[in-house]
Parts: sequence; structure tokens; C-alpha cells
Amino acid sequence: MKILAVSPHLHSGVTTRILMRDVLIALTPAFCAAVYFFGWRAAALTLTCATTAALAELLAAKIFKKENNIQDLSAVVTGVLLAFCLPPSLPLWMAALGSFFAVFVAKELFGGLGCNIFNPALSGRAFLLASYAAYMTNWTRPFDAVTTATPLAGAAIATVTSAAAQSFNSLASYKELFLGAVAGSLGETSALALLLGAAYLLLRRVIDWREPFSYLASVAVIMFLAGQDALFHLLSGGLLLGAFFMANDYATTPMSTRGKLIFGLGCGVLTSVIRLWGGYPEGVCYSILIMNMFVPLIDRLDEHKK
Amino acid sequence: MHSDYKKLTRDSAVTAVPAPEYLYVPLAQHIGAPAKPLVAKGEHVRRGQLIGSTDAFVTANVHSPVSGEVVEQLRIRNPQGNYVEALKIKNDFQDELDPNLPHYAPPSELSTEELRDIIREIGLVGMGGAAFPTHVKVSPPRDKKVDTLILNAAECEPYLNADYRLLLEHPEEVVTGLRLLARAARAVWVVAAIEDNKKDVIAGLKASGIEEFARIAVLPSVYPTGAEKVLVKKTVGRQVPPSGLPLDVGVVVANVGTAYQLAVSVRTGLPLLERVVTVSGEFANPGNYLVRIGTLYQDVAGLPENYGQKDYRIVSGGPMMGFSVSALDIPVTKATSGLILLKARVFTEAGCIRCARCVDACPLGLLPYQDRGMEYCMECGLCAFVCPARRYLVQNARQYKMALRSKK
Repeated sequence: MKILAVSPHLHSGVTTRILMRDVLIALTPAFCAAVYFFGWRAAALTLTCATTAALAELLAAKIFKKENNIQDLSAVVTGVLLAFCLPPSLPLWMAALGSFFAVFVAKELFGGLGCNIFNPALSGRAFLLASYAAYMTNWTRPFDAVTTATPLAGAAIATVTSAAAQSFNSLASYKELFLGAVAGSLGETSALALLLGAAYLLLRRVIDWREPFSYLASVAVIMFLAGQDALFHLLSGGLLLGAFFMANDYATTPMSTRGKLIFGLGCGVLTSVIRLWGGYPEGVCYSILIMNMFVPLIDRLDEHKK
Repeated sequence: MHSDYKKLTRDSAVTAVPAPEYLYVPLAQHIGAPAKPLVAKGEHVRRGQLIGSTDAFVTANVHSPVSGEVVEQLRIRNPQGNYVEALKIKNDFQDELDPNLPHYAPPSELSTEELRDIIREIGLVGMGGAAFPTHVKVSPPRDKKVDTLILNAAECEPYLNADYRLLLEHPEEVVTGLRLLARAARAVWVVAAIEDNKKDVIAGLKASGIEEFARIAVLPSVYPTGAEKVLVKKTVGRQVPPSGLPLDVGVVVANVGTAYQLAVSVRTGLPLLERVVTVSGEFANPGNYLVRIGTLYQDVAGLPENYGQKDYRIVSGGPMMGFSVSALDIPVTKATSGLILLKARVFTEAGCIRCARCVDACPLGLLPYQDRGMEYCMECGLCAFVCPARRYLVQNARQYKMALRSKK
């Protein structure tokens, strides 16, 4: 058969599936860390979320009578990312419900991959937080699963209640934060594992450096100016997971280079504001979801500039 | 990432393909008015004889590449898929030269006006693919000032080595041609822009005295360095306006094959009758061939054994900007730089995932994922090359441009 087509007649070979596969590869170190610190429950949660996400994608394709895109792996990525921002003690059925919401409602009801406004994984998390607040804030210590506060929550209480001199060191050391031996969501605790994955994505040019850079830099600068420990804030909570794996989600972030910097900056400011003065100890999830809404506006900025 | 594709024919010296029995010489191989046939059915023609011409300014003469008999005038498909008038010539294999071929003065004695006439006479066009008549290019209208001539030696399309081989094998002719083009265009500055994967041609150019009148600019080998607008920006730092030509910023860009042909024509008196074509990809005979204009693709390219069973894409020109054609009964024209056979698969486009790879890749800073602003697109194909969803971005841009044109 002779094939006629418009130029170009070559392709880089990098397809959506390969990009998503790379993201899954990049999430593997964090997955291993999660299993190491929180046990097989972490694996069960991740598997539950990934499977439910894939099933939700299939169901959406059936109901909406469209081509099933399950092989592009984007639903699996959403499932894994959602699992990574859930507390290890969450009941599996809740995780499944959140994963279904993430893929079916936040992604497919908006038109599917590339058309969704909000980051699906974070939407799933926000949905669960609103529905099951107690379960979603029940944090356990690594290894022994004893209930405790996250370093960020501890720091927030500490700044409010006791003397300003109270150091976060009693809550978690830099080393613990870096390796991940602290309470927190499944995949967010180990900075080392996340940075390994991020380095892989940056080297493979799957993600752009701009959003993570402006996000992390703005948090560091604001925290420093506010008299806080900037390094502690960079390493704690979901900041690294959010900055490298969610604030540069293709569908829900700007496409222009300048827009990416603006988006990261906005996320950084909002995260800092929530962490410093908000009712929640952590602000990554909401800051990214809020900034998602500004993406069309930010993209507009650069439309006629270039 | 593209350099590997070139290896296949990089070291193949240019060899002449014997002229076939029948040649199909299109009367419109160039941008501008088609030439009118000057010979009738049954007439005997000689090699180099003018067989098509018109009085229009933007046009190019057509000559007979062989001696023989005009069989008929017919309509034939060109690589773009359009039907054009062509003369079918039966080769008598005598290669009897046209007795009226001119004898030109030595290159050093030719004036600007004489050169412009010669360029028009020999039917010279841009041989990189666009086939824009060269005499028009070097005779700018009065309100446009040309001060710079750039030799486009950045053959950036994957697979193609036609220009590279000419630079390597005939640097003296290319340098002479460049000198003549500069004089014809009254250019003050001459720059030879060469990609750094072709550095080995520089020694030959220097030995041929290129430095007496031109500067050599070595550019990184990144597709599409050889695209005119990109080339002008990178070599002389001037920004060609989005819908403009290099002429608008005082620059004329000339192809290697064009410069070579001018030098050969001035030396021999023979007009543009043949060109170098890179045959590559899955074809059975990869190499660089000197082919008479009007030779059918099937008389140049050898088919692989499994041609009937496998799926293929036949590309005329380079794989990034060339045309895919349905069959090999299409003639080589002045603009045919390559014939590539690619293993093909059919892809359907998936949904845009907004990864912005197209935005990062676009050398003109356009936003290929949406239509707006795509009237400036030069169709280099990089956006579609990198698109993970394999979206038909170039096709969209073309349709957008066509719609704009029909609105006017």
C-alpha cells in the first residue's frame, strides 16, 4: 500500500503513551519510598487508585461513545498521582471513590485528556478532603502507623501556640524530611525519591523546568522574607510532588514559556499564603487548583506577543 | 537526532544516471508563468535546445535535456499532485548538442546585466525545492536594496546530501557560481552559511578562494537552519517580516545547486538540463545521482524486493517538507532534491494534550496548536514531528492559509 500524507513524513517517535510511561517511571522511586515507609498499604492504595482510574476511563469511553484512550496511560498516571497525595490510613473504598471522581468527573466530563480545566488527581483529593475530612487528615508515622501530626501541621500549631523560638527540629530533621521518614501523604514525604523522578523527567525533556522552578523559588523567597525556614518549607508537605508532577501537568497549565513562569509564581504565592495564614497547614493542592482556573487567561497573554 | 538519516548517502559520490528512452519535461517546473512550448509534435530537438519559454518576467525557460524527437505534448502529474503540461521526448541516445548554444565570456569578464540575461536564458531556478526563478531574485525592484547574498549550504533536511556532495566534489564551481550570483545581485556582502555537520567542505571552499569575497558562517546543525527566514536571522541577524521575503531586508539567499549550475552553464554554454538527486531511505539504490530533468522517478530509484507487500510512503524532496506521491511515474524537475522511500504506517491523530512541544519547537515562535497566526507558517514540519498526539498541524496550517487566501 502506498500512503499519501501531508509533510512532515518523519516523526520523533515520542507519543502521548511514551510521555505518560515516562511519568510512571519517574514516580517509581516515590512509590518504593512509600512502600518502604508506610508498608504494603501504600501499594494497595496505589493499585486501587490506578485500577479505578483505568476503569473509570473505560466506562467514560463506553458512555460517551468515544474511542477508548486507555492505552495512552494518562488515567493510570492520574490514579497513581492521586494515591500519592492520600494519607496511608485512608480506607481503600474512599480512595477508589476519589479516583473515580478524578477521572470520570474532573477529566472525562470536561472532555477528556487535554480538555480538563482542573488537575484530575488534585480534584480527586479536594473531593475526598471535602467529603471525608477526618479520614483525610488522619496522619500516621512511618513504620509503626501511629497517629501523629505532619511536620507542617506541627509547625503551624507551633507558631500559633508556643514561643516563636520553638524549632521544627523537634518535629522533623532535614535528614528525615529529605529521605521521607515523616508523616504525610503516601508519595510526598521523600524529597529524595521525588527529586530522582523529577531529574529523570527533566533529562528526558518530558517536563519543562519553568513551572517547578518559579513555584519552588517563589515559596522559598516568600518564606525567607516571612522569617520562616525556607528549606523546611521546600522539603515538607506536598510541595515537591506538586511542583514537579502537578504544577506542570500538560492539560491544566499554560503553554507559553512566560505563562509557565507566571503559573509557578502564582502557585508559590498561594501556597505560601495558605501555609502562613490559611486554615490549612498545607496549600499545594488548592493553590494549583486555583491557578488552573487562570490558565486560559495566562495563555491569552502570550498569544499575540510572539 | 536527524544526522543519522544523512549517513546512508553521505559518502556516495555523485554518479550520472543514464538518460532513459522517454523523458517528460514539464513546462511549469517553477513558480510563475508556465513556459509555452516552442516545439511541436514530431519535431527533432537537440540537447540544450530551448523548448519552452514565455515573455512573462516571473517564469523560467525550459530546455531539452537530450536529443531526440518530441512525441507529444501531454498533461502529467507533478509531485504536488497537480497536472501540468509537459513535453514527452523520445531519446535518440546521440546527445547531439544544439548548434545554437552560446559561448559565454570568462566569468571574470561578465557584467551584472550580462549575468542576469544568462541566468534567465539558462532557465535557472532555486534548486532547493521552491524553484523560484533566479533572475527575478537577483533583479530586485528599484525600491528594494539588496546588499547581502547568502549561500544556503545548510542542507538541513534529513536524508538529503545533494548539496553536500556538490560542495565536496565541486567546490571551485560552487565558489565561481557564488561569485557570479553576487555580481548579478550587486551584493556587497557574501556569506556562505554551512551547518557544522558539513565542516569537511570548508577546506575545499577555501582552496577555491571563497574567502576573497565571502565570509563563512558555521551554523549548528539543527533543523530547520536552512529555512530562509531562519538562515537570514542566524547569519546576518536580520528579521524577515512574517509575511515577507529575505528581499525585504536586503538579502538574497541562493541554493548550492543553483550556484553550481550557473558556473557550469557559463563554462559550457549548456543550460540547466540535469541536477543532483539524493535517492535514499528504503530504495534499493541509495546514492546521489546526476539526473536529466524529465526522467521519471521509476527510472532513477530502484525498488526494494518487498515493495509490493509492505506499506511505503514515497517522498519527493526532503522528508520534512517534501511531497508524498502515489506512484513513480512522476518526472524529476529542477526542484527535485531527493527521492526517499519510507516505511509507513497509518496514524490517526489523538487529542491535543497541551504539552506545548509544538510551541517550543516552532522556529518562528508561532502557536501551532491553534490556528491564529498560522498564516506566517513556513511548513517546516517541526511541530508535527514532535507532536506526541501526532496531530495534523501542518495540514491545519495549510488549510488555514488556503481559507485566508480564498477570503481575499
